[in-house]
Amino acid sequence: MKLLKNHLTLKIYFSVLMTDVTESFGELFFKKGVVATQIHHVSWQNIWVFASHLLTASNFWIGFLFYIINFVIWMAVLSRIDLSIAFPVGGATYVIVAFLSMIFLHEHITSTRWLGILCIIAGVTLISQSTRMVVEKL
Amino acid sequence: MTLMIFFLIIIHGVFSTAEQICFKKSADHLENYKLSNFGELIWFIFNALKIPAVWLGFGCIAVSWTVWFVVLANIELSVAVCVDSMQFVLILFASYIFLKERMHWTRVAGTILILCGVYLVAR
Repeated sequence: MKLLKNHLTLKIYFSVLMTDVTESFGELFFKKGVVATQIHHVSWQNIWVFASHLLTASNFWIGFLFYIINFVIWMAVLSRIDLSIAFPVGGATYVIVAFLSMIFLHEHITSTRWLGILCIIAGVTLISQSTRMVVEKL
Repeated sequence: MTLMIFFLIIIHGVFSTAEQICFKKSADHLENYKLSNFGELIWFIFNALKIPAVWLGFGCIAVSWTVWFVVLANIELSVAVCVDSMQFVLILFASYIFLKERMHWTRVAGTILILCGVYLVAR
């Protein structure tokens, strides 16, 4: 059996948190890029117009840059630590995206939605912890 | 949120899961690289790009992103990202059915929590 890499140092913890932050900002700029296309409903008829508007939106490319940074950090993290350890810290993404959407996109996050976000984070954490337990049992 | 959008988010989840698997498989080949300075980082990227699974991962990204932008055009970002967590539920069921993995109680509990969360966010 392959030994589980579960040594979560402060440096790795910070790196995982950085993947959350870069992913969240990536999503934010992607959404801003999509908003800039001014197309609110994409269908087969306008998908090419949508694509060309999106690819010329500067926000799209800023988002893309965030994703490249995210990708490099994520690969480095994955080579050092198991997914079951990396994912719970990844739960922070849901909270960060919610805050960014509130501040920059003026989306309204009701208390019900916050409750939903908490449930999702708890669920993701439980699932990833169970992977660890199953491996340890083997 | 229409059923169509929900369906698209599921497709996005499937492809980004495939992407994660490709990258995790590739990353296992890369655990011996040190990353303490910029030169080593470039060397790390260079070697990562030599792994076929990395390119398969890029292919998955192309599909999942295309779908994702169509989703983003239709619904709010904070909703889309939360509904996207359905992919964890999908992975569990897929590994239970196709890989015959054991269903630990924490997985069932986690799945229920995620489903409740998605319902609360998206309703």
